[in-house]
Amino acid sequence: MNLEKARELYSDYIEGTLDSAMRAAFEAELKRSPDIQSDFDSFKGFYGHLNTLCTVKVPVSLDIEDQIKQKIDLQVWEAKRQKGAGWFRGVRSAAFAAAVLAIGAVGVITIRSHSMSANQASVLPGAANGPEVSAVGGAVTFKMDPAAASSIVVTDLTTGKLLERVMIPAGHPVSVPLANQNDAASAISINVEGTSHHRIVVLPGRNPKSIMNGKGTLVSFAKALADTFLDPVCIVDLPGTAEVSWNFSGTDGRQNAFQTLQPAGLTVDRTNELLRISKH
Amino acid sequence: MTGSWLDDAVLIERCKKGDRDAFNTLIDRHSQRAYQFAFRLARNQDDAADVVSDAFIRMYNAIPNFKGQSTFSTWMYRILTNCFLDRKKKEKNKQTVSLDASPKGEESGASWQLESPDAGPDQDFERLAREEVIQRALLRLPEYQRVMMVMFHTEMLSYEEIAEALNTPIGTVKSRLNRARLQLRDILSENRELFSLD
Repeated sequence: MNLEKARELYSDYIEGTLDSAMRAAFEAELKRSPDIQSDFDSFKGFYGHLNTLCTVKVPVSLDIEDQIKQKIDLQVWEAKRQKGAGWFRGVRSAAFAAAVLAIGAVGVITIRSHSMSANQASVLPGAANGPEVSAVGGAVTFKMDPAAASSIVVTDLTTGKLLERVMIPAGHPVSVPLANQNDAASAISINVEGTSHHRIVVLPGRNPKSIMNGKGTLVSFAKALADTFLDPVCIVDLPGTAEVSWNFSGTDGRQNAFQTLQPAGLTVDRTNELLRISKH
Repeated sequence: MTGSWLDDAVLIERCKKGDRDAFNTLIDRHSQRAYQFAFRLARNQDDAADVVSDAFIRMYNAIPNFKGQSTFSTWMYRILTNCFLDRKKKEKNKQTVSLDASPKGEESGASWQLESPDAGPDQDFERLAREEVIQRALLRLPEYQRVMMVMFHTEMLSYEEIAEALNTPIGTVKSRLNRARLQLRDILSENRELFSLD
């Protein structure tokens, strides 16, 4: 047995796992060769030191659990986002393209009957960290960049079905395209739990029918507005249950629509292609 | 938190049914141990956190296919090891550092502490120095050998568990570990006064 062969047996010998014949041969070799004996003694001493390694403490990470959970939340969110269609589960309506108005490229444009105050402008989309719905180039998008982790709940208001409950980690802006594949206008509710942020988004249907006259809830009104004028509508921080009646006929149907809500203390603004219903 | 008293196997079954809280419980239960293992391999807190996060994301994605042929912790060690080795491979692919560059962890400010044995200040100091030297020497071993050494000598896994975690025959684990110890001893021969290697 040469040194190399003997070395292969060192750990097994120390751990007592050599069979009796091999152990005897190894011990005989140790007696025969002072070099192997010396090398083995050195290894044995070193092996003893290795057994103290388990007593070495390492730093504790105070937030590793949160880091992991946050990354998984983000991955889940991204996977859902990449599925495309999003909460309306459909293909974006081609009708949007026909509905795009010739408006300025940027900024907030109001087409309601009275001008918007600076105070009102400050609560339009873009407010820090709050949810934001935009409609540009025929694409309707929900965006959010929360300062703290936020849980959002998305509900189909036609069926009452919960579509999503998603945690958005802090510092991870999200952008979700919204689309509607139903023939008629559809509405979803997006609620940021624990806050007053609440959006109801209504998208025109793929085969919309004008509902020029009617009476119903604010959501019904928004659906009629969307399908009649082929514009997406966003109801901002309102429950959508208020009763309203409407009549879009006349020389300027849109203005009629906007004036419909004035008695209820509500206004309709336009931001790019999006109609926004909010409190005065 | 859901099911913090439940066995890992039960939690895994719940995870397979889409119970996210069950997976959160597994994270709460195992992440510190995973972090310590990763830190021992990487000796850098940021790298360790990244390895652990990557590993748990892989586990989250793979848990529907987890067959239960090994324990959750053995599976965890396997995935942690893969994440660590993948990371090292990526680093090597883009590495342009000089040959005498010190390991990243040595400048991280992370300190190694001993549990307080009943020994005097001189013995404590000598022991600390010895552990520190061993830890540095471990970083000079090939990654795969380092993984085995940490699993056996610090995580106290058995040969069987290591073989299972690394999907390697037990005889191979034993022979590689023996070789790793010999190599480590040779590296440490520079510090023979600390180890009585003569």
